[in-house]
Amino acid sequence: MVTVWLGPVAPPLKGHTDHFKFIKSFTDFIFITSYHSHTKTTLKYLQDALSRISSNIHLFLPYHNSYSMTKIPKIHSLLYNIKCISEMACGINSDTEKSDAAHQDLIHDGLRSSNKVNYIPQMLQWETRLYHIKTRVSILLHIVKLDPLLPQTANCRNLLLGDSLVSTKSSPGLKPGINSVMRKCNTIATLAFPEGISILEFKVDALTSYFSTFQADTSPCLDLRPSGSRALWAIRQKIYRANGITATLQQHNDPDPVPVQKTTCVEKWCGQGN
Amino acid sequence: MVKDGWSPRCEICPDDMSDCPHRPRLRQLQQYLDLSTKAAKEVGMWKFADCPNFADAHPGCNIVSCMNVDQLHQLQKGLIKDHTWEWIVSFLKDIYGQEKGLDLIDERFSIIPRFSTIRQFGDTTLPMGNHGPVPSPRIW
Repeated sequence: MVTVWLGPVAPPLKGHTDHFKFIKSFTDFIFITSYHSHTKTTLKYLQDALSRISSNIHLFLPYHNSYSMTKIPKIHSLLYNIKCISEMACGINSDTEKSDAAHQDLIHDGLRSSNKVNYIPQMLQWETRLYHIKTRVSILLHIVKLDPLLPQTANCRNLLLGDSLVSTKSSPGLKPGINSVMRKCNTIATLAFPEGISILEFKVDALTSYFSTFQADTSPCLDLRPSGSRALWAIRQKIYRANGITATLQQHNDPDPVPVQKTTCVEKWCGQGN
Repeated sequence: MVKDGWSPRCEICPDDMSDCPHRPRLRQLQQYLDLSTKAAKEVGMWKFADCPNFADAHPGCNIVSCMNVDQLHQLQKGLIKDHTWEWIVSFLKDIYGQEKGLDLIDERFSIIPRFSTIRQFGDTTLPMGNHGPVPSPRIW
């Protein structure tokens, strides 16, 4: 939200420079506080943003419920943000975003999928199944991406197609993940691997790549930008083309074209128009 | 203390947070040892008869100075979602009217190009009101 909100908000606010300055300084403040390391210069940027916030915040005074900025300790705590950073390093250290997300994913969704009666064993079983499904999906995806010409790769692709994880012309696929599998209510019995796949090396490689994606970006668009050379990207594109996955180039303001895999993602928050 | 609107760092009253005439005094738990229950409540501290004071058992430890600012709940969800975004929406409603202000923002958010690290808002900005925390740190 903070990443993109200046662009949509700027044109309607044309002619109201001070209002936009407040929003921009607010964005500056949040981005600079989330830096992973700070110097005196960045702390000075923070101080500048804070002074711009405090000089323009009165513009939005009539739009607050109580017509005054009192009793908002969050705004008051901005004053101590710089001091906290200088005393206790960057603010990311005390960020609760990841733990909150884990609470949302594992606790809330698990409780919702239980029948609310003796729910703890049900939640534990649900999470166990969740990780089994996730592991299976990652192993199958790894086998498909590794070598598309192997004979057993077709079986893996069919299994993934059965879970609607790969997009085709007839059926637009969902985001490769657990939600689509859970939505289709697949039973655990269908989660067997095809014959000839039970090679230990495959599983170890796939599990390694699966655990290495914990810190990776979970965005809906899969960025296929090569980390190495452009030749590597060409090879990877050939593999994707052999698998029938279309890869398109999206041209942004960035001079370097960013190849992004075209997926039709159905996100969790789509369709919640309330 | 924080739940009731008091600042954990200084003794400013929640009613004076907009324009405080003087610089508020920073909290030192040792100062509250000899205060009565009523006097301590005026600076945002609560004393209970059956609960020992923290400063008694930990002399020299100023626990309130260890309270860091929570990025997610105070800055991103707290200030932007609860306050700043509502101010902007009501300001645009004042300028362009009740319906057109929201339509303008919805239209602008829907034409954001698809990018790997940017969230897609679809054709309405309403979902951002009821979503929880998300794993990607750059979404908000």
